[in-house]
Amino acid sequence: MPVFTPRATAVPALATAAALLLCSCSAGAGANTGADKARNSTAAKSGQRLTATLGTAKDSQGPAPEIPGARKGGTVNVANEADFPHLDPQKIYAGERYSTSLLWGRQLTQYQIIHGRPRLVGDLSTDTGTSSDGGRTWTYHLKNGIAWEDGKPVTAQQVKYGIERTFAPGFEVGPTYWQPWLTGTKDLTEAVKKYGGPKKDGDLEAIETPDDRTIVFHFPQPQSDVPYMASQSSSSPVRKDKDTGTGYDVKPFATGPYKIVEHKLNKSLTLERNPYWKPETDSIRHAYPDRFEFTFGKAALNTAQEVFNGQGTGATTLTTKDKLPPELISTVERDPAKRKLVVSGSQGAYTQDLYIRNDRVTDPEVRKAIHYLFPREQARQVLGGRYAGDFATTLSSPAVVGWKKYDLYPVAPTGDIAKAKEHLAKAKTKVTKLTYAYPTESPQDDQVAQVLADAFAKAGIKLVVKGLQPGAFNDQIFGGEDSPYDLFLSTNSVDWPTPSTLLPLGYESHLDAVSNNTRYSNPQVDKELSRIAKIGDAQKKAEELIGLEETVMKDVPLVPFLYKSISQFRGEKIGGAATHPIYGVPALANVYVKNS
Amino acid sequence: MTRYLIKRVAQAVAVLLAISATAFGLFYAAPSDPALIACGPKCTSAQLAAVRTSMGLDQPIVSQFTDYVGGIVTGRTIADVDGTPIPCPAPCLGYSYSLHQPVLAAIEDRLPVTVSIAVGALAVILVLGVGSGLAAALRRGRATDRLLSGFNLLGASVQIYFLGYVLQLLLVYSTGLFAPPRYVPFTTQPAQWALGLLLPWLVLGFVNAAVYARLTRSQMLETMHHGYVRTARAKGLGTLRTHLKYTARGAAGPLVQLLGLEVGALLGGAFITETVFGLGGVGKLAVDAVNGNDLPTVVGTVLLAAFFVVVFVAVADLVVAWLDPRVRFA
Amino acid sequence: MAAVSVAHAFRRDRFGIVSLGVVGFFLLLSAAAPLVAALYGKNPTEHYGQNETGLLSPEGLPLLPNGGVSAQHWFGIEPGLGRDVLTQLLYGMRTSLLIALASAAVVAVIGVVVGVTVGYLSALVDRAFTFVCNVLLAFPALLFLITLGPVIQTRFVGPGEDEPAWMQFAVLILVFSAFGWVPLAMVLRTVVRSLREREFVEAARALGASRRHIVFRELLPNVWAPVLVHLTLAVPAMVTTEAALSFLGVGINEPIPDWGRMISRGSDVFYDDPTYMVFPGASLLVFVLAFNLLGDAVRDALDPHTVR
Repeated sequence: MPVFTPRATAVPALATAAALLLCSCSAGAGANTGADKARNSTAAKSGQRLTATLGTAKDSQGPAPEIPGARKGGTVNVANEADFPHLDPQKIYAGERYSTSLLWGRQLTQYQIIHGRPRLVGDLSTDTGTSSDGGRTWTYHLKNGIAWEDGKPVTAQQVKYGIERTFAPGFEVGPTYWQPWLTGTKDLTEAVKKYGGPKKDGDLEAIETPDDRTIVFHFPQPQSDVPYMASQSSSSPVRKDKDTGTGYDVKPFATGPYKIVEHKLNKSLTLERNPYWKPETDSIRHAYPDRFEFTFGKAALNTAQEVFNGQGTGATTLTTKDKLPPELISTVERDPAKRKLVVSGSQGAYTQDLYIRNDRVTDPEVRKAIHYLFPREQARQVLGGRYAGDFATTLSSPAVVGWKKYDLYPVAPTGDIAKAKEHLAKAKTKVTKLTYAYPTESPQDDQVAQVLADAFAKAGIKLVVKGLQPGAFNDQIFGGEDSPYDLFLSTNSVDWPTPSTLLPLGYESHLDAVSNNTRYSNPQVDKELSRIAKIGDAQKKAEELIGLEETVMKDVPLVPFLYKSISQFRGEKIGGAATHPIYGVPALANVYVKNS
Repeated sequence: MTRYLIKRVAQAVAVLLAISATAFGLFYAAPSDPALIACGPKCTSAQLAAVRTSMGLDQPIVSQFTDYVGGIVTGRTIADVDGTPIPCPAPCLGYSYSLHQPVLAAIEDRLPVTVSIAVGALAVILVLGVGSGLAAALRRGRATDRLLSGFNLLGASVQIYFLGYVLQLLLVYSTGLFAPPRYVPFTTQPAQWALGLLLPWLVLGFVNAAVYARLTRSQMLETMHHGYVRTARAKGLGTLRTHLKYTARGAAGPLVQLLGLEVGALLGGAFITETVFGLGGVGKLAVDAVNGNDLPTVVGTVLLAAFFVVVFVAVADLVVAWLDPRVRFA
Repeated sequence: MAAVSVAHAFRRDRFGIVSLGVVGFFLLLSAAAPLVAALYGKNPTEHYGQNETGLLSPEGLPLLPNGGVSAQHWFGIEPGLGRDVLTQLLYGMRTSLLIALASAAVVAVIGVVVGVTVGYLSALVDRAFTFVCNVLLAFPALLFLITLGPVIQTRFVGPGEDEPAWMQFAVLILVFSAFGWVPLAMVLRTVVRSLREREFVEAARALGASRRHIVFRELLPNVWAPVLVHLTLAVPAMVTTEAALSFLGVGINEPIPDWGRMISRGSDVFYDDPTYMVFPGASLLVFVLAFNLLGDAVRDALDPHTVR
């Protein structure tokens, strides 16, 4: 599964989730019983409906409400096969990294999770922000007593410097909202022409810091989503004297409850308590364990064995990136003791879809044919069956606020080759060959490719499948204007609660391939989008965007595949592990080591 | 002896130079542009050009190479992606833009793991390989000999990526007889260090022991028939003492040479063993670097692996020369 | 030594005969793989488990015990895609053998030419040769093999094209040969150097025979024994290296069946479906063991001086 999610990744839905399904239902049919029993599994229902809550200033006051049964002390081991590609707060852009970096980083606002329900509250800031001037001015006040790991206070100027960094070259990998908003431009490319980062252009006038604890944003156009953007990692403070350039990507300076003691890339990351972090300033993070020890490089399957069997450090280990290997699903389902160690839930508002490069596959009839022949059932079987998620029919996840179910081109999950052939016959030019690219990260990737090739062959299309090194995959799919590939699978999410980041930042024709992954282009949709952009009322804007989604999907820019579920695992002695309703991975800021 | 030593060192340096040139030439012809990886997916062509300049990729390959070799000898300063100068003291093996550290530092981080694997595996090879070879030679033709030969043949035919997984799953994860493979530093917890590496040692040792067993056996048998050994025995020296004092010494030559090669190869990183057991040594670093297109690290680890082989082969030659005067004066 | 006496010596070696039989059986099976598959009624690429119900669980593991072994699928089916294991094994063996035998042939040619030439020529050539050998021996070959695949793919295959099967094979054969000829050439060099001082070569030279005559008529006929021994042992080594590369994900690509990839996949599913790893793992073991035994037997038969 592609982990790299260039555009979307982070924050879905207008907060608050249903309870997480650490299901205690009966085991499914084991691999070696022939009977086709009802498979009540630990697989979570994906795409939980979320509703929004904005917390008050009171909610923003620490400390975070205690978790019953939690205790202080101990070391939590986190094992993942791969290290984090970025730790620089302004470069972090993915749910898992957002969630993990809460341990050492703090932002203007953040999601507080209570009983599995998220609520946006002030983090560094006393509240989620106040707007004036019709949304053109947003003001934040920093809480008293927030300090860096060396004891020096966090100031408004440092928050400003952090946001200024996002304009600099090399920071394109982060979210691209602050830059156009603050400069009143249409995208990042235009924005950096006006202001090129603190090194090049010095002070950014649009952010004002009248005193050390007040920060005022001045936007040329009204903005309604500022509180959500303020929770993104790129809204973290950075201290100029600690900004080590690319080195900051390995070992950032901490404001959160832990500091990074040592980070050996691809090997280990050690966190210890930050003595200057005060719980009363923080209503989001619990800091129960004394230490976090991350290790990288061990295969997920081996980690899983150690965790399920409690071997080595397995009992105090959990994963945040590694998923439950599909190969272990029936073993886990047979054994209740193991089943309770699975941490599963809806993976935020993530969806996994078959992306079509619309600039290469220009004929909608061909794209419809792909829609019909796509073997959803078979592909999902390879990815772990229901554990991978539920079949999708819409572009956005049900977790997005205002989501409406629609199914424009109903098709059986196993695909409909006859229907596909009909559409192929209607196409203006005969298609006999298509290319599919995928990053070679797990054996499942190879298998999905074979599943697709098999189905396409049945419709008379030769599917050329190309496994690429993940780096090369990203370069070739999102980097250039002229990708040689027609199809790829990708997992994405909207950036936050409102649907306002989905269509405007992914389906407008002038956007590059990094944002507009499918290179979708429809003048009518462009016109609608620019009309909707001018709507001031957030609620009305959301409704209009949801309405426009069906228009987009009529053109089949991509084939909806799954509303993602995620299953991970934790050791017997790890308490408080639950999937973060927004970030879609276990929230480390809530875990503790159980008394044994 | 001194002349021999100088000659041997000169040879080693020449071989290393040739290898670094080959590695450099080959890997810099690799698939995607390393600058592109360092620059990220949203890289504009202007940025890319800047990154290429700061990485020195716009220089002709020959001057890149001389810079590189110069860096190994005298150290040098390398520009980071954003132009920040990074000091890289001698012996500088280049700077990894993916790991954000000099290649040598990355290797130093992981070398203890690889050395630990090598030390234990070598012990197993010596005990299992040389030991069973000696035993087989002394018990030539009998059941012990046949049994040991069969056992070793099995070792030579089985693969680490099969045996390693099967044993790991059977002995570690199903029955818990062995601790899960992991590395803890010898200096802090020696017992845990040994426990965590026991299975990799045994597997690696068992698979590699066969060659030594066969060689030891045949060398012993051959030397046993040499005149000086017979003389020693005729003079009334006991069997075991004769064998240890004369036969073993005479038979050791090829064995030492093979061991030199083995030590060098093991220190360069046991790629498959480290992959199978999830141990983060130099081998894993190299495989990760290949997969992540981290060329400086790839070239650095290749050079390191070659360096160890060359050094230990040379050391083995010197040991052989010391053991057997005929080599020295040949 | 006359061929007759070699055959005679070989025939007395029970292990040798048995291993020859096993190796022959493997060779025959892989040569006749399409025929066997046709009789058996399955092919190695069809996703039986996905296309027919009742074979795989929703998570892709075989429903029948022992990896789905049944009258339909004698060795069971592959977890995930549900391909037939027996035909995968048969065709996988073809892959392995094709690469190993082709590489062995190339190695033999290069090794003999270089070894004999160097052994016969001047000391200067000999030094250059030793240097090249030292470089190649010190080179971390496996790392090189891992890197080279992607390099060649990008250089010679269009981004939207499949890497043709012949190219994947050619690359592996090329790199195996690039490193494989060294030990053989080194052995032959030593053999030839000792031969050329022997009386019969001296005699030929004294009689005014040309170099050509000496090399082709006097030297070459005497090196076939070490070549044969070397090759019999090189074939299993290449088979396992090829499997190792596929195991690391850089060997032969899907959908061409391959033992290394089967073992790699087997190690993933071992817990719930050990059968899937046992078949390719055991096949590889038996195959390599048989070849090694055969190599030993050939060596013993060819060299009566070996102390046994």
